Amino acid sequence: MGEFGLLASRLNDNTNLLRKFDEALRYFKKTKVEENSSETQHQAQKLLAVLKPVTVILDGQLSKSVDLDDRDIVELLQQRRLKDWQRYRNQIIRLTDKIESGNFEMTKGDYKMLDDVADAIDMQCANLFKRISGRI
Amino acid sequence: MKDYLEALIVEQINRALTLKKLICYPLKYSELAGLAERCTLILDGRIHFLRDLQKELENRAEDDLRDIFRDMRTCAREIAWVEYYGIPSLHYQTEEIGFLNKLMFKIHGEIGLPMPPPSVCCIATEHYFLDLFTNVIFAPLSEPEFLLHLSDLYHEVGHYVLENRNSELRLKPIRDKYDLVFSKVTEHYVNLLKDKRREYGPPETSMAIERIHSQWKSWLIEFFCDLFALYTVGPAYAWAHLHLTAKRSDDIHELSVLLAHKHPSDESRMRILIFGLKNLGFIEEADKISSKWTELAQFWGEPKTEYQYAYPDALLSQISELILHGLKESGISVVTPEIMTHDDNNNVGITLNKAWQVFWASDCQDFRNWEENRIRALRVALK
Repeated sequence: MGEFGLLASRLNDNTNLLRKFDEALRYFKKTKVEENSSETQHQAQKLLAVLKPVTVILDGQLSKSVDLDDRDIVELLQQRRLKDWQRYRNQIIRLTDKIESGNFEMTKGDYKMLDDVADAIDMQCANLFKRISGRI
Repeated sequence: MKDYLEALIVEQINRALTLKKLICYPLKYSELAGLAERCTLILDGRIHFLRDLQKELENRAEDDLRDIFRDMRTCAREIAWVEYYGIPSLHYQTEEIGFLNKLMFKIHGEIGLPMPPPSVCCIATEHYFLDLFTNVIFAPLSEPEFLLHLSDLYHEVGHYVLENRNSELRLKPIRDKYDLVFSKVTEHYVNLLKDKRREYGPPETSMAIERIHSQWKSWLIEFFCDLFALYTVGPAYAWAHLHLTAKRSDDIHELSVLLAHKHPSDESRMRILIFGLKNLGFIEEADKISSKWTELAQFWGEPKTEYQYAYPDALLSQISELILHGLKESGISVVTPEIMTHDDNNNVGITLNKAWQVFWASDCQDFRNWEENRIRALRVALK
């Protein structure tokens, strides 16, 4: 009946996605990207594993992703961008489409947005960890 | 900020190094070797990663530190996690910890788990839980002296199985069925949302349905673990759920649309267990447990309106069938009514089911005497 296992499971899943997302983010920041290389495609998938379910929620639909707390991530992003939420929301959707179409020419603004998404997952992890570690 | 970030990284490296020193070698119980190795691997991995991070930091500008900050925080959480939920078993190594780990090794063999068993530690300050990072199941201190809730160990093993479904090839059927189940759940709610939007009902209903769907990510984990326990240990797990609900539940229809990561309600968990018992052929036990549950459920009130959307029978029944197929296809030993008729005192699963039969058939004190004798015998058999 204790909630520890549940929280630990969600934390584990979200941490793994965050780690992969950050690896990919660093790859695109550092490397002169060859769009068709398998490594680039592999790294892009790590970003999309987070961005796609987030976009599904932003579109007002139900996401099929089992690992990511996508709805919580969207709420965290929204809390931080209340003033220009609609514009920001559209930008995230556009960035996801861009990466999905294989266009990896990222602007400074794109990287900032990806950092925002990663920060939101990190905050979600911190929140889950707080709920776990307060228990023992 | 760069200097401070470096200080944080160095502090975490020192923390990890100190934790490694707290593991007491030689280990008193060989069953703890897997845990010692896992904790050491995690800590070494984080030390290595933090040292790389320290080098990476040197080349970064002050306005380009966000990912390093996140990585440092992730490592700090993981090192604390090992400290809270891994090292204590390895530092204290009490007799009870030894017994529970031997018991887990025995259960591991009985259910045919295709990977190493998790460890067990009895210093929990709440009911059973598994820490997935260190693979340690925590049980309350006196649990090795009682039998009625030991089947909860199987539920925690379910968490362990689920967590490893992507990395262990032999668990692929479980992974596939789990993903299929979530697709079915999503399909159900997509259709429900369409219907509700067509009816032009209040927007709150659609919002409640969206949130209920989102909660299924957590609920499905628990339903899977409940079914895993039921299918590997048998009716004892359903009785244990009833017993724990009687002692602890404040609302068997609990449903919070706003607060995420809650367990599914006790009522829905019992309903899926009954479906599971019937799938296994335990018809008589399913009826007995159902009847006792109906009596017990009268102590709590009626569910709130949104409850009708949360746990539909058709979905629960479908999930119980798909998970059973997944377990069987992964080679997990699933119990049958026939197995339960064997008189094998050294079989943990049979003993736990027998305990419930004796519990319902005996006077309270007679049961306790029987229970104490069985535990003594089990300890001797596991020595």
